Amino acid sequence: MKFSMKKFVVLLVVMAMMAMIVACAGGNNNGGENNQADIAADVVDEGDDAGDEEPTEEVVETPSGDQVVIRFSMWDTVDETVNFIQAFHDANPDIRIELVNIPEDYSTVINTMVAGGTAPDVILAWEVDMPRFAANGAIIPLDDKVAASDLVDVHDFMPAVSELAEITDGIFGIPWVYAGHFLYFNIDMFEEAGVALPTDDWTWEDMEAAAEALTIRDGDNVTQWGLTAIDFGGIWYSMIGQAGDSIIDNDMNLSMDAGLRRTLEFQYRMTNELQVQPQPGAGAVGDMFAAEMAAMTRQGNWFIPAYTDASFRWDIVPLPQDARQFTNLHTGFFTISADSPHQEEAWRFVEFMMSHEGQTLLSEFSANPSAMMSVAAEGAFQVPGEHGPSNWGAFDYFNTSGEFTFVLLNSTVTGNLVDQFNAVLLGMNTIDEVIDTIVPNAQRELDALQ
Amino acid sequence: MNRKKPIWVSCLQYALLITVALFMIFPIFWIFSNSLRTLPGISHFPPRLLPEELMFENYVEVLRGSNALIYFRNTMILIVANTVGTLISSSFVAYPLARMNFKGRNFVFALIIATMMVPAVTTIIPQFIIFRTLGWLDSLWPMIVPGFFAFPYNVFLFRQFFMTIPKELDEAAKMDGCNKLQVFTVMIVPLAKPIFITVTVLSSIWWWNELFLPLIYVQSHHLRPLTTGALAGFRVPGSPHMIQWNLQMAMATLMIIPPMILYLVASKHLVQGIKATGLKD
Amino acid sequence: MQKVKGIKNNLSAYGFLSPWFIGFVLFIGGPIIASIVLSFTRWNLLGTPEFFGLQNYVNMFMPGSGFLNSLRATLFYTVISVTVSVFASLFMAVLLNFRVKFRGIFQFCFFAPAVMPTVALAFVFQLIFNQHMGILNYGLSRLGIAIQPNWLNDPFWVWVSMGIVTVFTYSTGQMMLIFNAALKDVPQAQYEAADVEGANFFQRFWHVTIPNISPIILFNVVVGTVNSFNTAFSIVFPLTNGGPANETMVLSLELYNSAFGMFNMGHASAVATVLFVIVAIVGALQFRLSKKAVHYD
Repeated sequence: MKFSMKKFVVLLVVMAMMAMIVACAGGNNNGGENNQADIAADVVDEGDDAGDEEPTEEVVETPSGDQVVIRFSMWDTVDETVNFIQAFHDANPDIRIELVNIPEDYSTVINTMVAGGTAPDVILAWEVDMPRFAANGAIIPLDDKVAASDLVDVHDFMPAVSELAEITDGIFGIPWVYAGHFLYFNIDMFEEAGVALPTDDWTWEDMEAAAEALTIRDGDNVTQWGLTAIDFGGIWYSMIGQAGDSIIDNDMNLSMDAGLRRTLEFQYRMTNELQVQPQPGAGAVGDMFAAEMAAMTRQGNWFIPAYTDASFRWDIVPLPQDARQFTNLHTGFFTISADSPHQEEAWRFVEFMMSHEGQTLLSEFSANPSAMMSVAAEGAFQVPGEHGPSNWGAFDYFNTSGEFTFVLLNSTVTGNLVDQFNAVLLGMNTIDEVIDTIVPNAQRELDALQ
Repeated sequence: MNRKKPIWVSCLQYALLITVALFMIFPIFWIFSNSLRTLPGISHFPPRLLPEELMFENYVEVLRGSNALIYFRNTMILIVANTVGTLISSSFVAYPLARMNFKGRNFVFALIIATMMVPAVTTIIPQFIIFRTLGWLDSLWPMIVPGFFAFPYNVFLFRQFFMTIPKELDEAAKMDGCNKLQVFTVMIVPLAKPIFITVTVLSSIWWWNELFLPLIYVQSHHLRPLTTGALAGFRVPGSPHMIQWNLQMAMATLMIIPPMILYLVASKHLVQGIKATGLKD
Repeated sequence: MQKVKGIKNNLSAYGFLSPWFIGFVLFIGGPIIASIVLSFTRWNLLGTPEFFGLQNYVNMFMPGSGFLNSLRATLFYTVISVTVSVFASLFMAVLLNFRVKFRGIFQFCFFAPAVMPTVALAFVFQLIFNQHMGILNYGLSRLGIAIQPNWLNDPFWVWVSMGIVTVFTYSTGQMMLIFNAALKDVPQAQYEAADVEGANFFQRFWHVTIPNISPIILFNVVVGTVNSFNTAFSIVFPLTNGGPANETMVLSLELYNSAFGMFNMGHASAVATVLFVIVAIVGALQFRLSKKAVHYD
């Protein structure tokens, strides 16, 4: 085996030449038609979705049975028997919705599909992705369609949501429902410990005192935690907002300083000094609140259905306030892929979802309030379990104290930041490091994105 | 030559072997044990070795209520297509490297050895762009087609084996009027059956476990293989970031049984293949 | 005549080689060059690439950058996974060479986890390592050990966890089979000579076994190191996803995140280029080192 330097150089030159050939041959075709996008798919599909899209300009023939298949992506794991799909099928027998469920790394996967030209016809897009897709022509403008529709009323949206929809020049996406964060508590545990139940105007200090009173120790071992660790990263940003930071400024740059410091100090004390909440990561396997190992947890309102079967009594209140009352809001936008060969049918689906009936069904399914104030007022999202919740008034603070902040930034960057916050609790970072180095680094990463 | 071992040495040896064996199969046992629990049973503390009530229903739910069978089918497509592809192309490429004298042989072989070391991630972005241009994303093609262009590692295995076949056979075949291609198909391939089996076994295990490429190339659930399918499956409805661990573990059990059976059936070939990785002349 | 035959021979040889050649150009050589080109651009995969000069590289080598952290994580991962794999596999191979019954069963038990998909391995270890509900910490407390590490969420223990998981990977199983075969080839006469001199087990192992299998050890270190660049993703991604706080963010995962999470194709390509250079250097070094030990012909 002889492999001299000279040959290595020759090898590099050869490779370079070959790459040029490839680059020249391949470069021009970029963005060309995606013919035969799914050959392998067809092979393995046994013809069950004959409408497999080929995103070309031509009219694609409708499959046998005259049904148009619309692929619709969302992050929840549901099938076609879910209420809103079924209702749509009943009302529109000529269209069939094929669900594309992406429960993990939703934004990443959808972006990959959009970039790869295999996007679903209707994408439920995250707040950060909708403007990105719009700017790159991946989704179509909906102004005309909205204007022509009797069913969709854009003036009925709650204020925070309508502001958000104005990020783009024109309407590219229509918000489906919206969500915020709550403090969940186990009434049985509170009563057992003789601690007064949380109220809508609780402060961080109240939460801290209750967590201390509710933590039960057996020697060094904690057998009942006052509070769970923050398992959902968005809660961090809600607390930072409560502590007074705006999280993002008007130019969509990160704006976190004193509030971040206060939040990190508070969480550090709760975790490591008072030891009333476990270290981050403990909730990765099981929900400690559901397993009755913790008396309180901070989670999105979409966890209400997850606790429906809980055997203990529980309820919700707004997240405790600090410098101000605040929660991050979440939503998603119905958007229509520019590659979709069935944009009219896709719009009919979106239109249905935004109608009174569709919004009511979506609210019942997701336990999130409709972004349309008239529908939300009817309370279809209030799906109580056997043992809770009853404090539906807690939802009001989404309107008065809710904002869209970190969800407008790249989710990989904001997710990494949460890891770095958690690292403070694990003793890996100092608070100064986070504020002086890590946040500016994250800002640089955001700047590097187009 | 065999000294009689003192009995305590034997005991110690068995004790060590059994301890290590238990340690090594513990994760497998734990997967199985957790697959028979209820979801709250997973986080039951203190943990029990086996749950009180064995929930075999979990398996029914995995097989009926999820895409497990579709994932399985996709994995099988990847395995069969890639194995066929690599058997044909890699043996083909290995033949001249082992049995022909031609200009640049050492160079080509060095290049193949070198490319064995290139991690898949370093080439993924341009490959993604190539397959996007071809319109092959979100399909199985990007993982099948490259298999037909000779996988360096398998070329290497074939070459090592072909070297061991006596050269005189080629000459004899040539006398009978065979051309190079015929020598290869008529003489070499039948003699090289063991290495074909070995490569089949290695390729099957490889594609059964492959995670990275399907993560990049396949998003639709009906096209996912088992690995990325399992990664995304079994969330608590309504809370996509909560995992139903009991079902996840049932799925994992189903995923580890086939390769273990394959090992039981074909361990000899697997061992041969692994040993052939450049150890011996 | 002779010459014509030579040309014909060369032609037919390259005919046989053509599948590899096409594959090499399309899937390896070409992409490597293309990565280098893309690393000088800024591109989000949706628009068109803009020339970005050396900025991607400048950003990568800024103090405190994610890239430098990933280099460190990759180094840790490689050292830990290779060391653990070599020692664990050699240990198991020695056990398998005891003169005992049921060796086939023991070999099956030792090797079975190696064929498990890494996803399944990662899943079960997330359960085992859980700080409050996992069986490992429960077992430790039952043994009277007071420390209850937060295995996957502590910057130190996460590497211990990686080491433990490595024992069950395919690399370890593969090395075990190689060692197992190599141990059988150690000349029996040398052991007998050692016995005559009254050597105990460890002396025999040190003075007879090790010198005889040292080329194989080197071979396994070489292969293990090269493999670690490939296996890092399939273990780290499902097990820790780079956490806690990027402690285990190996280069391949950083590349995946920046390419398909942030769509910063320029940066990702720059990472790919550097990773390729590292592998090339490691490969060349090891090639020199192992020339004596490993015979390809």
